[in-house]
Amino acid sequence: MKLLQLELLKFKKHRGIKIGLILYLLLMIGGYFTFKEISKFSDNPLINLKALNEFPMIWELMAYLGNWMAFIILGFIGIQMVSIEFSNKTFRQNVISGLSRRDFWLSKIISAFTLTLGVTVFYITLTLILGFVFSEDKSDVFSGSTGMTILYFMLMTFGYIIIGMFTAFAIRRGTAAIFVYFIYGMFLENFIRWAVHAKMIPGSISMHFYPMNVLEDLTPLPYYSQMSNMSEAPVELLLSQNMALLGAVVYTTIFIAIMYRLSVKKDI
Amino acid sequence: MDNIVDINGISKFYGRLRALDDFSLQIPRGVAFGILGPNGSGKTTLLGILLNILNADRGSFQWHMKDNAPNPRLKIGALLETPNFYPYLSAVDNLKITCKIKGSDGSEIDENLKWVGLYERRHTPFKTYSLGMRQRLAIAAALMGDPEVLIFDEPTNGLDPQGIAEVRELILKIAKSGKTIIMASHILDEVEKICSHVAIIRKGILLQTGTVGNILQDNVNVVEVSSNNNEALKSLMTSADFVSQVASENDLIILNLDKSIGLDELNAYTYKNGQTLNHLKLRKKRLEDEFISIIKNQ
Repeated sequence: MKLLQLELLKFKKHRGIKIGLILYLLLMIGGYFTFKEISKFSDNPLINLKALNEFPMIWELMAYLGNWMAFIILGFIGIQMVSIEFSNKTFRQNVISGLSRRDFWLSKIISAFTLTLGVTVFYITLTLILGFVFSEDKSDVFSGSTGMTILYFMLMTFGYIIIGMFTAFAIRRGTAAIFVYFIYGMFLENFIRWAVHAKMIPGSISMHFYPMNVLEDLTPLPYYSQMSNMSEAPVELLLSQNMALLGAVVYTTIFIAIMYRLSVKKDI
Repeated sequence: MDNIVDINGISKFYGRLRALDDFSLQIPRGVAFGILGPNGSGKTTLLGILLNILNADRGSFQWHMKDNAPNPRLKIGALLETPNFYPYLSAVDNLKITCKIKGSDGSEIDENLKWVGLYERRHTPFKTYSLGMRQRLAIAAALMGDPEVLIFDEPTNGLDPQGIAEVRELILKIAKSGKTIIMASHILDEVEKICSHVAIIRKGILLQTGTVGNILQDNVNVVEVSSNNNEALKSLMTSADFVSQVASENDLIILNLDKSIGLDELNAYTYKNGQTLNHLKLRKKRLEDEFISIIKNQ
């Protein structure tokens, strides 16, 4: 609790983080209504986009929107939470003031987890509100997989924050870390997967086991797996969610372990 | 006298560069202890290791706080090189963070800010502070949680003369309060004014340690002399085996005279060798002279 309060003292007045969180809330709501408008024009008989706006499919739609928001906004917040400490040398100052390096990183992990919990509560609340307001059939609020979708959402959110933190840990400078994070997430990882990995090991799903991709595949675009089955690509386009879950857990653990280990071992 | 910290055989390497070499030192409780050394002598490295921001390659150290405090680090306040705070937060908010780390309730924030003269600016963001104000905030932060030990590394670095005077006065006030102060500096005048004990280090090796009084008495006397023929006098003194160092300073010749030789003996010796002194004075020794002498003799 002390460590969480410490993080709150540090960041509750940080303008970038506050704006990021407000944007997250607004864009999640805005994203739903934008999708709702788009789905009106869909007349594909195989893919009923309108069903996504209502229970129980709305859980998957909101998790998918949350994936984008987590990548863009929560990853950015993760970067900020760590890069501030390095660029202002406050990590060093915290240790000089008596905070152990272990507690410093524990405070970051706890705040990433708390942010994840808060965002998940928002996701559940928003989805329930939108679902109840816009669903014609309100009897089918949850499907058999809703619980897992919420779990995947949580892990995906936590994963992006941790990747953001890890990028800032590796790069140290905020602006450079943001640049590397987005270039890697949007272009570089896809380039490595499709232009290098897929050519070196053709037909293998191992090309999907990259940090950003496993998080992306945790809460994919609904119907994407059906579309994937219809494609003629020589390899599955998507990891199964269980595989993505495994990959996300492994990567998140590795990133946390590297940050902790190097921070304890290296001079600061 | 019991020690606040025991340092045992610490070594630290940066690649092939040896910053500290089998360094051992005991620092007594309740004194103002100066660590002197030229730039790059290992002062900051030593303090960095004591504050856990650097890892020693070999050796160990142990703090002995009163009542065997479970986490001695929380009883140390420190200002190491430049002050580092969250730029978008005010002095009060930054000090709240320090208090949270130290487990203090923060009731002393206002008092400490008044003490360092920042109370009027307590709600302004840190990024708007001048270097002197930043340094003073760092001292206020170091005082949070009623520390037993205060560590200052080059506390007046980069400050203008007024800032230097302000910071020096604050440290003197702290020293008078009976807390242990460990201060590294290459400004000898600063150490001499504040510290009762010193350790002199060079290239990571401890050259000498003790009270300032002992260090000043342990070696030679510094004597000013002159005659009608200073060139001849200088030549005579250079050849005398009881003089370890001869230097010119304006119209005077400054001698490092073996302390076993009295001024009357010196006078007699010069007279016997054809030089009548028209000036002979024992100079009040300063730490600076001693420091230079110790460093040169190694």
